[in-house]
Amino acid sequence: MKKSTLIKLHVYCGLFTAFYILAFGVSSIILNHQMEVDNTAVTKTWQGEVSVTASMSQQEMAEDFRNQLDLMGWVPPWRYQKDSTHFQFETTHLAKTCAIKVNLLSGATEVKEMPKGFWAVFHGLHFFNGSIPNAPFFLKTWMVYQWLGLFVLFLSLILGIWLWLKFSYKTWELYAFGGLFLLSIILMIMI
Amino acid sequence: MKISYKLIKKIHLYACLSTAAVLAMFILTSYVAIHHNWFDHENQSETTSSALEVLPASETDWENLLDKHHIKGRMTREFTNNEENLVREYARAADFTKITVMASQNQVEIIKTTKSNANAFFGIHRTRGYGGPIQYNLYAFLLDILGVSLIIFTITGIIMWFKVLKNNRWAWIIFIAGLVYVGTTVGVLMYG
Repeated sequence: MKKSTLIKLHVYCGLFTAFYILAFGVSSIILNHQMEVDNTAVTKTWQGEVSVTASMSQQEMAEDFRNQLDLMGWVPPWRYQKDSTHFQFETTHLAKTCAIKVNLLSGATEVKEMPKGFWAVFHGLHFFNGSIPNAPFFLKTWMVYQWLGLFVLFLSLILGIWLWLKFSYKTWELYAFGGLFLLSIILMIMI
Repeated sequence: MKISYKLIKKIHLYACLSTAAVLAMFILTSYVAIHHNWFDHENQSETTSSALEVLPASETDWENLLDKHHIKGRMTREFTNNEENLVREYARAADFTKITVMASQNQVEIIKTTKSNANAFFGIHRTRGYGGPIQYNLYAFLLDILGVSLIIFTITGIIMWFKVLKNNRWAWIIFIAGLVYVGTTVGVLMYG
């Protein structure tokens, strides 16, 4: 393959994954320093109404109410609180947590929204696999983008190193970065 | 100040080369996570109990205890359990050890969990943060370099594309499609 074709392929691969790589870069720093980036403030409160089936388990109830309210996210069981008149639970995903309180007698519902903010979402893309309960179909396509993105990133890395080795490497660079490569592998084995 | 194409190319290259091994590991272990069901994830645990000669009261006592029982890794957690026993957890990418000091019985219980190959491999992916023995701090430093490098080689890559292939239609289509797709995903997550 010609050098210009390889360069073009390298550029296309890089551009395809550019924003994904940026999210990884930001996320790696956040994780390595255990930074807290989630906002927890309630920004919006609204009322709704749901139909209540008393015979349901708490898990079924939480999922049913989430679907009726057209919210997306997981419903963590450790956040359930139930008494004779009210049921409280949360829906959560990488961008937002909603605290929901349902009056089991009337079906009246109060929803408090706590968006986590842009940086939490950007960071969350690191872990996102396209699967969130009750999410629109569009988000499921992330699964494909993620798979392809990683593949293209790997291809871009190999192509970049190939171009460097074939056309422009200097001996000191080979020793320095080859040494760093080996050191990285040794560290990965030692940890 | 005008930065030359040659310099940007060098920054792009060095940012990538300095982290190539770690980046390759992250990509490969990501596939292990994505195709979780393809791999064996069964860990092996072994519990042993032994009498304590000295109750560990200082870090030196703990180091002696770790040496005696061949426990490796760094401490990830220390707490007192419901029975009022002191518990310490040590972890490496490949294994995990829970030490429970039963002071009233002068005994120590050690549960060693050896991870399956796939879990150990993914354990490298999950290891992060400073603290513990020197290799963990060096690795955390490498992760910081990786984070910064990923940002730098994306930005320098885009600058280089503008310098050499600015009029390439396919490059624009791919770039804009990526921007629109990631932007829409973030938008749907935040406001959907």
